[in-house]
Amino acid sequence: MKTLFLKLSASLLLAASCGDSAKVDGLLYVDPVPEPDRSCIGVAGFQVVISSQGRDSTSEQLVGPAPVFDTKRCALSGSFMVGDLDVGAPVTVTVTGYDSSGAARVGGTTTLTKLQAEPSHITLHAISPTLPLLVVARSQWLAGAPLSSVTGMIVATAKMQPMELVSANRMDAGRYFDPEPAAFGVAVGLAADGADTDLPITVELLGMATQIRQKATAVWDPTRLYYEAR
Amino acid sequence: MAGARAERLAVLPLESPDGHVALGAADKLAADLVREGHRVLSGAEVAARLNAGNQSAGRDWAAELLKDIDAGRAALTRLDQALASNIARKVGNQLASGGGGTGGPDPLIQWALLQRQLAMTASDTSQAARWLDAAIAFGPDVELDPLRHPNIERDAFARRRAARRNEPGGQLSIATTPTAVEVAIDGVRRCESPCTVSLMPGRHLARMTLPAHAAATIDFEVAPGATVSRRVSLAPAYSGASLHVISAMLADPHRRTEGASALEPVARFLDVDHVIAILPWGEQTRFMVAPAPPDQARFGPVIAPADLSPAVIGRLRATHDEAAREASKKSTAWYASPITWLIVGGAASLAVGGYFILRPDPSQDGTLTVTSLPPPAP
Repeated sequence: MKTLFLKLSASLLLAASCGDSAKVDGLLYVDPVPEPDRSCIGVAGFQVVISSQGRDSTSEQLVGPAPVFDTKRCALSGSFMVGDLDVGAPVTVTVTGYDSSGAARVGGTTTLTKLQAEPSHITLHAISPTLPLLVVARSQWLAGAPLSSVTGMIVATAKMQPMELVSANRMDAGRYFDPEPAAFGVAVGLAADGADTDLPITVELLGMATQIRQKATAVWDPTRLYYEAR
Repeated sequence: MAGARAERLAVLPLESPDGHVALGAADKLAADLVREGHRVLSGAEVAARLNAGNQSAGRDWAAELLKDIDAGRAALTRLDQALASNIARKVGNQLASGGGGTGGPDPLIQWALLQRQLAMTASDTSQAARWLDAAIAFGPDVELDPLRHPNIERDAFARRRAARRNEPGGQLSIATTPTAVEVAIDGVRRCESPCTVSLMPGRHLARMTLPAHAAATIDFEVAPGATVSRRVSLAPAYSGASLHVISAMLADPHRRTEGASALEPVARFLDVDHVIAILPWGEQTRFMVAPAPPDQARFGPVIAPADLSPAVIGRLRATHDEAAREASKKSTAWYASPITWLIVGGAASLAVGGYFILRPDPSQDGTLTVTSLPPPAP
């Protein structure tokens, strides 16, 4: 009995699918943050959320081998596709770019009133305020150990009083922690205009068998407009 | 709140090392979450629940109250009736909320006598007489300290007490859940529940305590010859890390994960799905969700206070949608029943047949691909 009804249903559904229904494959391009805005610099990866008819589909963390260091290359490292969308229903797409600690740096949202074959565009913008960037090449202190053995890192300075500039861990940041070098938006302790160049810092890499605590300097790169830990 | 399930949430503003608390942002978040349909405990409620049972009302507490009462008496000596009245009201509230405490009957007696003085200053003799009776009911065996009370007051107290001792007494019969709770009446430990205690008629305060439970208090009136019965339940007290300690751990990068973990017992104690802790982060804020939603980090990003509500609501929505998908996956047990197959098969045939007859337009579904154009060659 079960087989009979299954066959009946399947044949009817097959007939329906062979009728004059049509599929629409929509395409949405994520455009970089327009210049001269440099907020996309330091984005380690992106996440896309597609919402339609009360259902959200969230992409995995889309990361490349390194964060974005060129405004023209502010792009998703892969594609995210969602099927079974009602062509006539509005679709809202949100794209967010995160730094290596998992803090949102750029984002954009658009709503397509219906799915259409012609490509659409979504332009990213800064999630204000854009924080000064500190770029840390962790591998220089790992002495050949794999980056995957690092579970977290802390960057601090004791210029005036002990102050934590960056605190990131793999549990919170997920795959955004992986690209090398790491790039972190710094909420307090680094001036956006490079005034804090040559700031003495300590970089602590957590999770290793032997804890690594390295003295370094945050040096402002006047052409790239961010700090580098050297 | 499209597609989202209402959840029980607690919003908890925590303190940064410099003592800053994002109270405004937390209050706004709580209000926004309520608007989203969630049931929300605000920061003040959370603090009150966590502190209940961990606030002592013993001798130190009684000594502080006696100091306040002395200040009230001094104010009355300076004819500052307004200040004395305010102090008396404040002390009265504290005594009532502490159920008279466990530090002896002195604070209650002194407070009632301060109220008597205030009534006498206002020439309200009947009110003054009632407060004298109240003082005697709180401590029928207490002798007033001659250094603190003038002779006239001590004489009035002694005469009235002698008269009241002839009145028939009353009783309090008390039962508690759980049992074996220590019962203090008017600041003095009297019995272990369930028990019955004889009392002088009048107003009395009782405090019931049991280790690891929040204290319960009652404020009751005993009439001459009457028995008052009360049944009281004591709720377990919060026994995890204090909010101060959790804040300190979260401020210490090496103990941050431990601090976030300490929020989970808070959620269990409050019986909420998630605690949303708000930590000031320089000029910005950072939030933590504990327990962490499935497949999500406990820590949210560092964001401006104005962006707090959208960020938290967005994260909770994602959790709800994931939960709904999981629930729908689990509800596939329908295939186990042949009857269900008959119904489903018949319904499918009817639906497809009806579709061919009634469909207004050709059906369309589609896919959406989100991608970036290839960046220019370097």
